Amino acid sequence: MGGGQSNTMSNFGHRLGVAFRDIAADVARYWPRALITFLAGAVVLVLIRYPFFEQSILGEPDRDMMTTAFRLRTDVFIGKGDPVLLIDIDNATIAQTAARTLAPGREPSASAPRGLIADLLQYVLAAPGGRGAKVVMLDVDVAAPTKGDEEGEAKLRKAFADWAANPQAPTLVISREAFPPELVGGTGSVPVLPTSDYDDIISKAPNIYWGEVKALTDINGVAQEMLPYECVQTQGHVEPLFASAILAYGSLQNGRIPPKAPVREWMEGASAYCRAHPDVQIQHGEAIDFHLSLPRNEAGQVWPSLPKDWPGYRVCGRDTDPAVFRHLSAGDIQQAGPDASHDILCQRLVVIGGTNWVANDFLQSPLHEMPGALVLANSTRGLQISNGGLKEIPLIFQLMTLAVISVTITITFTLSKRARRTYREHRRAGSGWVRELVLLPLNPVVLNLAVAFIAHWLGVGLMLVALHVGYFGFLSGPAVGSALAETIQDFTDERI
Amino acid sequence: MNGSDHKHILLGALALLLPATVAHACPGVGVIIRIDGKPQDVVIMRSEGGGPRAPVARPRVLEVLCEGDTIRAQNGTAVTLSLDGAPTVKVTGAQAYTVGARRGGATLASNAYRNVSDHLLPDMKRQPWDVRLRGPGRELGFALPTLADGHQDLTPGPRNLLVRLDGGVGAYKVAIASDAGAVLAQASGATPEIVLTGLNLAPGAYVIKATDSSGAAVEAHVAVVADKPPISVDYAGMTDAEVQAAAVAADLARDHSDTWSLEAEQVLASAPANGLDRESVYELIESYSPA
Repeated sequence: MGGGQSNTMSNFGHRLGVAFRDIAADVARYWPRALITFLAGAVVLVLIRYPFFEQSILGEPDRDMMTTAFRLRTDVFIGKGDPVLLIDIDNATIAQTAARTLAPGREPSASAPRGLIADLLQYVLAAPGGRGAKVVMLDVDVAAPTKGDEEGEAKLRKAFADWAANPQAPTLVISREAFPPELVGGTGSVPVLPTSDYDDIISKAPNIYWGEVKALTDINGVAQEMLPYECVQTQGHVEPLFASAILAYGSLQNGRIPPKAPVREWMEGASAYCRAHPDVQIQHGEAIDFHLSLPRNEAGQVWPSLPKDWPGYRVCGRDTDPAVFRHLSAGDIQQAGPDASHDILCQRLVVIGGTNWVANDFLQSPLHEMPGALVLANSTRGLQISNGGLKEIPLIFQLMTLAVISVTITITFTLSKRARRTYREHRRAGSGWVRELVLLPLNPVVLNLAVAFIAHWLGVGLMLVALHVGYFGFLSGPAVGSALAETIQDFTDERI
Repeated sequence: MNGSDHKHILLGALALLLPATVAHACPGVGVIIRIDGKPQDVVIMRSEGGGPRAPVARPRVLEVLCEGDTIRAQNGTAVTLSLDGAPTVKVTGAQAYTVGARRGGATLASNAYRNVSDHLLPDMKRQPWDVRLRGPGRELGFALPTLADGHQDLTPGPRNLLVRLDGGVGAYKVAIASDAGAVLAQASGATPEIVLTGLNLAPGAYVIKATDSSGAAVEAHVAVVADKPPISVDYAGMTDAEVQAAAVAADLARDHSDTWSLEAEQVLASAPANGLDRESVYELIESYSPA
């Protein structure tokens, strides 16, 4: 009995040794094949880094990977940025105004009432010194005409004048829109920033800026990037009109923008670009780091609390509102009166914008259909939490990750091939359909799909970590490229 | 990418796993958005840092509310609260309202589940098991916010009564009872639109109570009055009866949202269906709030 056991062990050891030698021989034989597999993925990786390919079907797996990562961390991982207060010119606000100014059944104006904006700005301005908003973004194009609202316009002029004259007032960034010259009686091919009724005040104000709020979409019409600046004609010359988000970010950081931040590159290169190519709009801008959600019609949503090391606690106290995002109706704030509390403003990024259905300022984002004001909040706060913009992980690190994936692919296919061969040798007598069913998981196409799926979710996990520190990379598309190359080689080998 | 970046990435990976919120002396969960009356008639009792309860000095509009605050409004004053994860709350009369904890926030698991279910089953309704996986959503409430204020009126006589709910977890159950507690009708359904049929209401006070499958309950006091609602005759010439009812209902709710919004929804509900997107009209009616 002892001798039989010894023989069994010896046989097993011998078979194991043979298997290892075979695998080693396979690996030695297959290294050119592994190299081709890796190179196929590497080519995809190198190409996909260019926006031309990234926006094509080649970039679809990685866009999907990025979207999944955004969706997974939304309203959960909020990074180190300032809290946001959205003062929302919502349906209720518009209805309140319409009830006062319009006959029943008449459609409200798409322009936000200027008197309302003036009241909101005065509320922000009235905050006690040091406990007010950090930066205010007004997502209303105040240059748009508001016929018949002379009283509101006068109130708004006064609010801007008060703001400009108050050295304690936070930075105010106002959204503007430039138009083709032929639309506003201009000449040339560079978009024109129309004159507004407030130019005389704002041009002299040290703390009020114009900004643009254009988003760039992918082939599916999903807003993915912000336009960092636009070359516009204003007061007889061409100059860059920077994105509101970039201006607000610069102000939130008190001008301390990291030296290698993508935003700094945009800011430093803007003037030269507008001199060289004034009429060529930038095709690919700064990626928006989406991390806060607010779907249309959503009410009663809960956003997470601020991290414990938010510097604002030193000023606002530990009892300040801890929510990273708060959403209040502009109508409620307008009606609150002069005695209202200002704690909700303390050290916040305040965005005044609208989710009403009359202006209908909504964009399709990777998360969901999102109000323009929240895209603005994500753009600005996203720059904060990524230290000045999302940066691509250096190519060498991406290639190293791909190498691990592609070697895994080659080993998986090699082992599965051996398994298929062994199975066929031992089950020749089995019926056809049973054999095919058992072999199905080892089928190269099925393996290819499985590998692509695993690589995609591995990429999502890595992307979550990378986004947390302001980086992004590509993996899903290159992994699919490698898996396809391996599959093709596998079929070729089978035929030979 | 330098050594500092590597450290950042490692710390980032760790930070994904660790909660990083702070324990507040007073965890904020919402704000006061409106005080109808004198602010000095609003009493907020608050316990700071686990200490004894003390009144908050000089409550104001847009004041941050904390978990555990007890709010009372005296001398006819009403205070309206906007709370995280809950419908708007109006506190009136002697009954105190205690602010609950923030609930319904997203988690990585709920986001992952939502992401998968939105791809695979985009039209799936919110079932109890779905809610357990996805995390709690909005609390059960009436879709018509002013219904909970207790000032909505209805006309007397034979009728059906549409009650629209918001949030909560299906299936839902709605009942109407007299002020003395006698249940006059009840109905249940998987959707948050429940119709109580075969009612014959006499003038008086009634209570509408709604519950969901998680056990949450809300109730509203309504009055059946002999007065007729001030329905506009401006729309009498419209040929489509459903569109006419929608116009009349929206007009009524817009001008008298504090008293006749519920009746306005009944005006539309009782009209013959002719392809109108009623949901949008109901939402419009529910969006009107008292001036």
